[in-house]
Amino acid sequence: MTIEKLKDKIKEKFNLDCQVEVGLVKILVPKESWGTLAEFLRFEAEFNYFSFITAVDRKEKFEMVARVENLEEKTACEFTTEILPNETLSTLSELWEGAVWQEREVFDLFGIKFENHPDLKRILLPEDYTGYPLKKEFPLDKHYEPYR
Amino acid sequence: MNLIAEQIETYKSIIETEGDTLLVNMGPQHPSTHGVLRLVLKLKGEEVVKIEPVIGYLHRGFEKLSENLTYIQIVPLTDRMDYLASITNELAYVLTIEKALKIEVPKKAIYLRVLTAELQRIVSHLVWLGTFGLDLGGALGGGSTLFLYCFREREIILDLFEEFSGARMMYNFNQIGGLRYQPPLDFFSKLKATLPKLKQAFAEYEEMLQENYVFKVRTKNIGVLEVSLAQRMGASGPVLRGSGLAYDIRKAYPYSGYENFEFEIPIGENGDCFDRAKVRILEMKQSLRIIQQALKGMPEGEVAIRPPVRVPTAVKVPAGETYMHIEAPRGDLGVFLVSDGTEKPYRLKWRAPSFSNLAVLPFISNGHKVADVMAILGSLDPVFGEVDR
Amino acid sequence: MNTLFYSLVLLAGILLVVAYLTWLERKFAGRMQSRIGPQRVGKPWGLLQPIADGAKLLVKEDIIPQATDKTAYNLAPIVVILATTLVFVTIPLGKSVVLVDLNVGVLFILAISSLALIGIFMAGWGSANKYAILSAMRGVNQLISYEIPLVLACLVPVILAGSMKLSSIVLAQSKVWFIFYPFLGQIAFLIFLVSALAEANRIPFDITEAESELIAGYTVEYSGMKFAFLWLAEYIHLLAVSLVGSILFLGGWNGPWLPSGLWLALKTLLLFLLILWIRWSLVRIRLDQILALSWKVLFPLSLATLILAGGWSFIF
Repeated sequence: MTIEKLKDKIKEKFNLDCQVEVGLVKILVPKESWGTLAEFLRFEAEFNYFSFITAVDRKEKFEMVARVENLEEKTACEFTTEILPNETLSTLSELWEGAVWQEREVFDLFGIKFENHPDLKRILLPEDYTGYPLKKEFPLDKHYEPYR
Repeated sequence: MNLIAEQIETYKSIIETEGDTLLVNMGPQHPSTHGVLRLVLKLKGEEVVKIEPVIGYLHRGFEKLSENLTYIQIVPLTDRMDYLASITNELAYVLTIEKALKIEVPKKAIYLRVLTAELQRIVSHLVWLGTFGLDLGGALGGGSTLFLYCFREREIILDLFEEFSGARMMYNFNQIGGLRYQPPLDFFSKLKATLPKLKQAFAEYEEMLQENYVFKVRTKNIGVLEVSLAQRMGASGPVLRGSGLAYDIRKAYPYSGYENFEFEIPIGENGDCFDRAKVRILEMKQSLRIIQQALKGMPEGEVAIRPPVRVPTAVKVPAGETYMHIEAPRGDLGVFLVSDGTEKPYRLKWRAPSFSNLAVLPFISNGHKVADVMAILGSLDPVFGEVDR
Repeated sequence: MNTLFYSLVLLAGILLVVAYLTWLERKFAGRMQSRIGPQRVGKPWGLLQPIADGAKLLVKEDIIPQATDKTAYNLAPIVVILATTLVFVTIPLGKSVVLVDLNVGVLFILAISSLALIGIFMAGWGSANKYAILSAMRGVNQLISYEIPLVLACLVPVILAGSMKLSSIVLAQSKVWFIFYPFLGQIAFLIFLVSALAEANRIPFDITEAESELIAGYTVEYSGMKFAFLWLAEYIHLLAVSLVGSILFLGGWNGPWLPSGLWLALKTLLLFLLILWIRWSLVRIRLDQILALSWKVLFPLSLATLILAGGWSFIF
């Protein structure tokens, strides 16, 4: 599916405008249609390759960014959503297995929970660590418990 | 006294009677976990029933650190990510900033970046091949022979890097807007002199690939990774190409002038350990080809848009999001930069290829023997500086 | 009195030779890997290296982990080194240089050297370590499958010579060494070499050690002199294998011009170097592949060789 066709299809199906660059579509989706859009991207647009998912702490909200690619056609899609700090997001790990660890990393460093995730626990930090270091509110000038 | 009783209790329960399985905890201190990986293995006899990698022992918080450093200060930090391929990390970071700033670097810098990146790929693959020998067995035997042969060739290239940048592993050599140094006067002639040696060595490794019976027996049909699973897992680089998909970012999204070079993308057929090994060994030969072309077409001129100064002025990246990915020796190395217009990044996310490649391990090693797990792990080639960041 | 003196000399000799075999191995490995090998301790070629190693291991603290089965753990190195050293009792080191020339020499050697595996299993079990237990299990697996081809391969010279006495076997080779018997000799020697490598736990069959997955297998919990015993036993076993191989197949001390002992030493060294060469150029095979090799290839092949040998001795 070419980029232009994809843009039209997304407009038609989800009523969303996307930003188009060379070989890349950027979509800002509302939180509710995150899962359905992902499903569309995975099965209909055939973005099989899962690049990454991450979060950006915008202080009053989190911006979630995921990037998937279609390696045969050399097209990519970055889809973004915004969630409030205590909200959860539906997981992508049922569509792309690679999201299992990536979402664990996001949970570990930002504290964002994913619904239906098979194994949501800390991955990089110790299991008994408290706090989420990539949040902007994380204090830099004191030892964080448990300090080792 | 209580402690001793507890230990004896542990001894008695040493064979967990969960069915007939034995729970073995490998690492984080273990000779073939490539650093600090911990593997929790559930074994049935010799067969692996379940395997869970536990990572994070080398987590140094790069992404948080980067938010508190200026753009220029981050460059030497990137060297410490994938410490076996520092130049490609620098390159990924520097290209991202240059893309965000929309600046062009001099042509000589582009050529030198390609040249050093390919030399770095050879170095990285040589370390992989050596450690793969150790993983297959024989740290006191044939494996270490392979290891030392690979390090012999690696040394030649590291000496060249040392002359160029003053460092053997952490180069701090790519800068925003070019390179830090002009190459020494006799750099190119020395490099030309070493190329035949490398070529001969690669021929030997290829011969090993084709004719060493024990190597084949240990790697063929072990850890078969299907191409669709590899894509969904986000596996990239030689792991993905070993599964038979000719995807190389150098060809797909050419960066830093790779469109000017001719090379092939070696691919495997079955996606087993042998294919991943084959892809890496053939890739070294292709890198040599690129180096030869870069040497032939090396332009004259400056290597940076401005000469190095003692106190660099701050780089300010305009607000916005930038994503750039390059083909590192281990695969798709991506940098996702969110900037807010200040001299420090607002968020810097690294898409580490080793992280995604390592996540494949539990999916492909079930049903194999313990010894195969090490072979599979070795063939995925994770570097824990990059996995844990 | 004479016997006692001879056995003391033999024991000291074995230890000295084995110590220098480790030196030889390190030098050899160094040359194979384009490096130099030991050279600092003892000026010409690091000749004092094995003695320095021994001294280091002697003064090391002997750590006994708390959870071990003390009896098995402490007894294991002794059993292993005893079983490997006892073999030398009946091996002739030259024309009429032998402690006891048993008339069932081959049988004795095979029986006693297999006992070492009991020691290895004791070490693995007694260590109370999962790696050690896995290694011990592998060891037993390997022994059971390789004992049969080894015995059958050793029976070929016995049939050809018509005796189990080692000196008679050497005597029978005074005209033609057994390895030069067409097909029969070479195949039997190959089977012997492969199964002896497996018995001695050498690469490519050293799955009991397997440092890439089991760290060091059954030796993982040992330190100091106990470790040295286990480690020495491996080399003593190797020396015994090389000696027995050269006696059974390479004609023992037969050879022109040189004195008999020197011929035997040369052949043993040659065999030892061959084993080293194999070790430093191959990687390890997996357990199931090792077992498959034994039962699917070596076992039928050795049976066929045995029948061939019977036919040979019937005809000639």
